[in-house]
Amino acid sequence: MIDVKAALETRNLSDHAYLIDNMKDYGSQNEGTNALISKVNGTYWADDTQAGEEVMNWLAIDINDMPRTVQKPSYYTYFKTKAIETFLKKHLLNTRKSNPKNKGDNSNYEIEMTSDGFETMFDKLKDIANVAQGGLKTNTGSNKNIETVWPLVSVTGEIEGQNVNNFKDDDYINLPPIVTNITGEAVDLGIIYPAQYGSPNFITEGWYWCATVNTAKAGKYRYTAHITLFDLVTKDDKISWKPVQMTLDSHILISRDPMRNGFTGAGDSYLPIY
Amino acid sequence: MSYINIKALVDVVAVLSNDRLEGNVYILDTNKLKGSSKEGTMYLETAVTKDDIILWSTYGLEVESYVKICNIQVDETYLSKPEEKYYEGTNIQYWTSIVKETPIENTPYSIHFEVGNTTTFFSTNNGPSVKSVINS
Repeated sequence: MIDVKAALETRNLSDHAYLIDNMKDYGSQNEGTNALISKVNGTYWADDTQAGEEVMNWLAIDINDMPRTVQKPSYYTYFKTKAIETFLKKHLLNTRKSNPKNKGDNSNYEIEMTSDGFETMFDKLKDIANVAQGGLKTNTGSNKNIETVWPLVSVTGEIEGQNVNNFKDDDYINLPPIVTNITGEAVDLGIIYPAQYGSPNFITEGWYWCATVNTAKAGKYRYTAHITLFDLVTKDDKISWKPVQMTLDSHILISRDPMRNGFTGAGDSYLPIY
Repeated sequence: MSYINIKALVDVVAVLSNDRLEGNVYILDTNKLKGSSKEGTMYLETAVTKDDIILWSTYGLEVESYVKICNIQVDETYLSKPEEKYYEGTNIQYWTSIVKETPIENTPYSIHFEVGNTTTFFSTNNGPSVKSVINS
């Protein structure tokens, strides 16, 4: 969990990041701080080879963002619906009875459509198509600011458009933070094997970082998460996003606790095979 | 006036298996730079000033787990009675309240959660709280 605006303001990720995992009951330490030590249960054979693997997933979430269960498509759908509604109200519903012969017959209306109306309609449809298909072109390696057709969204989920006059400094949601790499001791020593995977995760455009853990190598290992935050830049009444790369150190602790059979609770002995 | 976002991240599995909320809920806000403290604990102290708008929402650590805020009880001397609202076009809720007066001292409030299902309830005790930005 990251306080993105605070991290960008101070250019300090560590003081505004809170790491939380789901292994607290197994011995993870310092949950909810920037010094998390994630416990991984060691699994190994008598000859020290790896007996099983665990998988770690990383998700970076802005505290200021809407709950991740509010999927982006829902508010873009809302944006689309509003655009169509506005258009209909302005143009299509402005009808008149065109044929005096049909006086009194409510079923025969003709739509009065001006060329201006058509242009507006095409503009709106173009916007909608851009939002639906264009999305965000992200190249975190580039120094160029990122332009997006996506409208700004307020903390309460209201669409604020792209007009810089529509929003105040603190009431918009930044683009979500993105994990861009996992490096460090744990990777160098072959303890974790991170890679980026695709999945229907709406927070990060369908990408997330995941690693398999070599659970036979007991010990405490450091790794570094590379995270890109996006700072809003307003210039000439236009908005764009400046990618800011930051890093955050964390640890995993692979245990070599006495062996225990997970099913029977039996200790360091032969497995009870029947 | 500024918006203060408070997120309660709940480790639903741990709450249910330990039968306790404390230690298994991580409450965070966006006002640390103005003096909020105890971030990431059930006892978050949020620094506020008059007219600030507080938004609360919650979700489970694992996305498939269910958690919902069913009520927030505040000292109405300082905060308006929290209202339940929904993000447009969704059934996902948030709660909102306006700071009526800057609290003189640390003023706890309670968040009541449904955890795992709609009939299992857990509440925060003696925290989190709001406090004055000036005193922080």
